Amino acid sequence: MIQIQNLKKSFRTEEVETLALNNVNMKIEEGEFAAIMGPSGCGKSTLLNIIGMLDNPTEGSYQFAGHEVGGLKERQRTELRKGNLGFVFQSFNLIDELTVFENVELPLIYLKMKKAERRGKVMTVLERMKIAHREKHFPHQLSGGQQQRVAIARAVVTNPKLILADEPTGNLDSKNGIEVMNLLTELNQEGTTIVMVTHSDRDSHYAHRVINLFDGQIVTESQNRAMGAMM
Amino acid sequence: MFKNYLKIAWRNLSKNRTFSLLNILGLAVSMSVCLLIILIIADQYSFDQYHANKDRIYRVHTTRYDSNGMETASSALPLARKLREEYPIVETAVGLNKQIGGDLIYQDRYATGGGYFTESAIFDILDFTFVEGNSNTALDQPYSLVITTETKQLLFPDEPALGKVVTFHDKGILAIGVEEGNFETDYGNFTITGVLAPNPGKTHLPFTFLASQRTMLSLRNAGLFSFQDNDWANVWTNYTYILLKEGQQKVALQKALDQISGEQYEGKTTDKFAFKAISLKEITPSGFIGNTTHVSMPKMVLLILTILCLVVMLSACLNYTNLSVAQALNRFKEVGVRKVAGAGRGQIFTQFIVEAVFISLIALIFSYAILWALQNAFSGLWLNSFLDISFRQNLPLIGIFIVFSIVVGLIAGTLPAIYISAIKPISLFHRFRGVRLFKGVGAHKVLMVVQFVVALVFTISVLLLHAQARHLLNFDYGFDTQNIVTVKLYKSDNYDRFAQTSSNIAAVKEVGATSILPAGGISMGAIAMVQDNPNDSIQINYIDIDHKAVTVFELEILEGENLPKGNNKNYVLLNELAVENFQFISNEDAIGKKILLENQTVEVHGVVRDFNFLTPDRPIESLILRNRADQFAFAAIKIDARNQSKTITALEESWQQVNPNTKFVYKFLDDELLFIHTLLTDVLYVIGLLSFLAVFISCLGLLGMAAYNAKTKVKEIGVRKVLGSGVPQIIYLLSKGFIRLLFIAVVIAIPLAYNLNKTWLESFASHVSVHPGYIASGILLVLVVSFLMIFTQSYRAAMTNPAKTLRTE
Repeated sequence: MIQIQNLKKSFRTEEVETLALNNVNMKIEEGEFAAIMGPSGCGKSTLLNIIGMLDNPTEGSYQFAGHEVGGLKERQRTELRKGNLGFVFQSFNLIDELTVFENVELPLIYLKMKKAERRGKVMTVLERMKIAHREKHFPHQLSGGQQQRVAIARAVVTNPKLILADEPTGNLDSKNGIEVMNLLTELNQEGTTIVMVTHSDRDSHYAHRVINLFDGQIVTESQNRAMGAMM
Repeated sequence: MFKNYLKIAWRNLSKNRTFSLLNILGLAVSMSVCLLIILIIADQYSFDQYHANKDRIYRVHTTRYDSNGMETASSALPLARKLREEYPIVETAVGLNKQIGGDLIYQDRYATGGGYFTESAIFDILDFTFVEGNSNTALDQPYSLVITTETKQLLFPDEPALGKVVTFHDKGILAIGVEEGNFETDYGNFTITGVLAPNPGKTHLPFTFLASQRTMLSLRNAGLFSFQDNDWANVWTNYTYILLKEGQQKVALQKALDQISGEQYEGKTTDKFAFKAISLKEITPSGFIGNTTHVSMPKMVLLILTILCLVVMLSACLNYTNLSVAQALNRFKEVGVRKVAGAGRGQIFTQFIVEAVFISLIALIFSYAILWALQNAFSGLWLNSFLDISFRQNLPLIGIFIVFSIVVGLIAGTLPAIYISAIKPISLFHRFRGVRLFKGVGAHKVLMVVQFVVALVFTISVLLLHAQARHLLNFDYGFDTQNIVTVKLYKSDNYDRFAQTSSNIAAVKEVGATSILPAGGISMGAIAMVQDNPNDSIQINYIDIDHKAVTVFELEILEGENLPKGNNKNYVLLNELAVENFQFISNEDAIGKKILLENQTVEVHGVVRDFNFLTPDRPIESLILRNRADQFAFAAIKIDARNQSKTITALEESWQQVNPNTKFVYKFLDDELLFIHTLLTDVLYVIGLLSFLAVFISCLGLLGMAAYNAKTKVKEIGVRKVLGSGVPQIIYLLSKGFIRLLFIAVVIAIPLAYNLNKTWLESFASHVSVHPGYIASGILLVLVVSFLMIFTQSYRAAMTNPAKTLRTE
């Protein structure tokens, strides 16, 4: 599903150029659950942004489902992202002014789906996330775990091929963290590809494969033997 | 999607109440003034919409070759007949003469007003509905009168008017209500031949009555009225209205008019005129033209008002822009999430535009409430007693308000929408720390400087307007204006008996006579020369007064004596400037000199100290005080300051006793002289309001930007405080940028305000100077308010606990 070759990303300020990713090569198969780990500043989030088509690489190739996306313009990236990619963030990033229902509904609105169809899809996914009873609540009325469940609901409501999770349990206590990881695992078992950036060893064990980054380069890759061992 | 946009807009408004209030208030206040202007413009364009043939109706204006094309609404009386008889493109044409106006008297009832001599054809051109009478024949016979329903109500409230005979006393009152003449002439009896229903809309041709044109001839035969037959030189007292045949164009009419003016004025050196076809819709609003038949706002004034309001509106729009872009700091997450969820730039742009329009529409609701107050204030203006602006609103007008509000929203929202829609979704991962929207962008600084320059110039101008108004209020005319009652004589014969009887009233100190009210806005002039030196003539003003008027007005005689008692037209008084202009060696030298004035030789009997007999905006000129009793138009009565209403009653009784056939019309001289002051007060009122708006909007903008500035520097303030910085240093840090901008505005505003105000003040002969004190006060006022705005925000930020902000960061 994802094929990255000789990928480089540098950031230039007036005085200095920083190489955030240096010759990264990786491949992620459809249905895989991959965790990207590494110390702060190693380039994890930069890699995730590129995979998520939020940013373009400076050099190298990035193919998504067989399409080269490395040099696409913002509008083209937006079109490709729509319905194919779902995002889960550490800080949930729910829109404070929208209710739970409206937050989850948002990607469907941009897909120009009809209202009745939207309602059905949103309610299905909210029920699945066990948060349907909170549909009319605003984010600040929910606990952290509930907020992240809403964020996951929003990420999966379009049935994306790929979910990108940036430290999804970073702002949660362990109980809620485990719950969120179980949800992601469940989605993965149903066929959704998941790429997750994490600092947490515990969370990395949910992944099939752990990719370690250091100074913008992949230093090690390891396969996890028993998925869902901690479930 | 649209619903979603509105929902989030509303929730954002509720969440950020202070910012929302600043934005909405700024827009609403400026918008209300613009709505007022829209109403005024709508009113000015609503004239004469009810005439069925409005697209075929024209009036002929006249320009004079030797007056730089100065245009008058009047034309020559024979023109209508010539057009009617010789030009087939014309369906009909009619002439109107404005020289009739005064009192219609029926038994013990009066109706006063002005009108026109005209023919029945006027009813074929302009639409009038006859309540009584026949439009085809109403103005055929001499001494026929068609009156308005309003006049009918005054004269015949409970009976039909048709066929009734009224007496008419002409007083030189114009149809627009201005009293031009000072004398009264009995025109005899008129028969009412028609009553007109009220006009269904505003008209450029208001009147109290119409008299048949054949009456002019009858009056001339009776020796009461003068005019020449086929007089093409008099283009000042007549109007020509034309109805073109269907399918005929203005160009054809203009060609006909060019041909006629060519024929009539060819080869003339003086009184050479050209005619100009003006369509009915071009009449109001008009340019600056003479002899108009109604009072309206000239196009230029409308344009200036519109520009001033648009400046204020634009300032409010740009304020919205600044505040919204600053506020966008709080919307990064939302925009990022939307983009990640699949929103394109266009969709985000649309969302923020919709939001701006939504806010603008909310502001419209507020502005509508403010408009009500503004309307009342404007209606109370002295100016509006002439303009009679109506603030009637109808559906299309409300539609215009809404469209205007949407346009405001679009203008105000475009820049924030561009800024915000450009936010990259990647920002979501950067947690928006230290994002500076305005980094490297100087536009908001330029805007702020412009706003403050406008605010400063307005404020300084208001202070100077106020000073000039006060200056005029306390203006020293050089003669006594207090406790003097002026009574209009209408006939000079009315004076002697009235002076005699009113002198017996205890509160009356002195009674004098005068031909015009000194400093009342009217001046009379003639060519005069010293008998010994007839080749050296000078232009001189004159007023006819009797010797008692010198006492009433407390004119100081510097040399010689007062005018002799009684009617002695051979002696005159000069003012000091006239002595100088006649080149007499001294005041003493002038006494006894013979002067030739309008074919009469008069002798200088005395010299009075210069006094301002013209308006305060004009310098003093040469003056001769003559004593011709047949020219007296006013009795000037000096009365005691106490119980003045009682004295007026006594004067009225005294008047009715000796002049029972003439109305008693009086005024206090000092009230009459307040004309310029009243005008200036109105201007002060309007500019004052705009100035308040300019300062208000600038301060709102400043407040918003100061809050934004403090917000973006939260971390810096925290770190500085941890490192030992004190509150004053933090306040200085946050304020210095704004203070610098304010000072740049001051530097630009000073010469601008100085020159602008100097220009308008110089149009007054007596005016206050643009003293640095006024400029300093204006600057101080704006700066104090601005500093307060900056200080409140900076102080709040400086007092925040660093532990709290740094933890949040």
